[in-house]
Amino acid sequence: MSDDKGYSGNALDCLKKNNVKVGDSIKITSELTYSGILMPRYESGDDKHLVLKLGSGYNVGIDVDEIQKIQVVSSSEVKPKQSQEKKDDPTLPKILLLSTGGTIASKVDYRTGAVTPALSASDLNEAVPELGKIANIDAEVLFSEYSENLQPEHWTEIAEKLDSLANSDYKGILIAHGTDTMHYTSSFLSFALAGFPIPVALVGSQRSSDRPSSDAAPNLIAASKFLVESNTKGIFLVMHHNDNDQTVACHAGTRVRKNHTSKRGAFETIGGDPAFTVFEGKVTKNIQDEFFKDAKYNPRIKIDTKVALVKYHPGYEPKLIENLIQTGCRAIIFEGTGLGHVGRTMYDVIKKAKENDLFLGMTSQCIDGRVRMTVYESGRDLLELGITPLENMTPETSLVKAMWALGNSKNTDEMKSLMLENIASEF
Amino acid sequence: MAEIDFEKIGLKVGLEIHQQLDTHKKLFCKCRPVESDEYTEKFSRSLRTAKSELGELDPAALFEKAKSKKINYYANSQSSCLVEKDDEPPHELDHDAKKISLLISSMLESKIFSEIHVMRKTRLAFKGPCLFPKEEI
Repeated sequence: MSDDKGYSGNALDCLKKNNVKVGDSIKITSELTYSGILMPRYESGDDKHLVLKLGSGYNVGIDVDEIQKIQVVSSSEVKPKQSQEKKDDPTLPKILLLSTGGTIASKVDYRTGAVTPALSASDLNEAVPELGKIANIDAEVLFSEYSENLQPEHWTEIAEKLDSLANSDYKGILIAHGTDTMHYTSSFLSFALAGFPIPVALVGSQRSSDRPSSDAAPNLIAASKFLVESNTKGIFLVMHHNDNDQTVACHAGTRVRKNHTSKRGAFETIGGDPAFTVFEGKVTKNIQDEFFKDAKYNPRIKIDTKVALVKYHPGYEPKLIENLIQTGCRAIIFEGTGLGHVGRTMYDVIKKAKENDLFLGMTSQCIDGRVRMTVYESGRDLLELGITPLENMTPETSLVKAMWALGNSKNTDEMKSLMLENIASEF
Repeated sequence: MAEIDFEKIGLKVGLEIHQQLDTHKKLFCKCRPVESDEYTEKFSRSLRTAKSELGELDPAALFEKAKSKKINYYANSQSSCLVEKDDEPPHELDHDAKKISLLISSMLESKIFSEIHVMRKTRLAFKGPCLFPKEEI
């Protein structure tokens, strides 16, 4: 936020003329007299009003043109933040909390009226003191971005950071992350850090930490419990299981998807139960299989993003695929209809993509269920054209896996073989 | 009992009138404002304290937090939705409600601010989990 705290034009002139700063306790005389604290202005607000927080706690906009006089009752004072010295309990395990941003680490921005990433990892640690009873939490900020701004470069940065901690004495690692693309990040980490020796929990919230009904604290507490008590390895995504604050789900990082825009129970494990659940602090294992199919740690952190995720629909223009080929795309993951189909209008361009040695994988836009391309003639045609069915892997996980496999293989055959290998419970 | 000199002690008395408005929908969502004794939906929350924009904690909230209560909410699906549950951001302020409020304010010769601010409550109000005030000034 600028020094003017969102004020401009007439409103800013009025503040300067009266030597008033945001945060000052003031008395405004207009038709009536109002006392309160001058608040910042929303970025989209006009330049005709000052925002005053009245003693009742309500904010009001007062027309600048009607103001006769402003008196400063007391100036805003900056209260130095008292940092409490962290005292570790030697009997508790250690957890590292890495913050990448998102709603879980955000508060309301009075410039825009929206929530923005602002709280630091140690702010979170202080805001949820229950964490200190579960483990000694170290906190570190990697970056502070909403997840829609996170790119594959950020995934590799997180992976490299985790790789550097593979032999540390941490019992587990928490990653505070924005929820929108959290399942993409969890998928990448699952492949790039196959066999990682300690559990990793990506944790987010659908309601910002600065509101009483935030899901941030229950999710963080449950994720910490899970890391300390689950005795497992893997990359998990930990969020509310449903409407209630009491149950938190730990989803396998490659099987999870955000299926609702705003509910706190937005994330679901596709095609099964969450790997673990934490109900009022008690951790329960719901699956028998190990997350990583090979227990040996095998970090492969390279990535090549020349991959497209194409959702086929009636009326799909085949030339769009030609454009992808021309722009250097090396792999296409189709989100086909039903059991894994695209219309015959696509056959010629698919043939062309194969001639250009692209990897072509098929998933389903039904999201849940397995593609089965031998049932109908169109599926068999597509198999004949060289499309690889990707079983029940979700479209998003398939996309991320394709980027990872492309970055870690020498040719299309090798990439195909990686795509079909079950590495981190993606099938 | 000694008579109190109200002027001397600077007593101010305000009158707060609560009136449910007969609008087609609720203030921040499309739910109908129907009365019903049927509460078929149930969910629970553990509300926590949160700092205001001024970075202050509400003492009442701290007191409630100390009790560490789990709150069970019962809801009627006709008259409440995800917005009430704080599982969806509030929709646009209902136009009719705004119009009626301004009309009543005018009839009472109230001073109407030229800009309305919708705010989130930082106090723990156990009436509902959405924590958006039902009234604006």
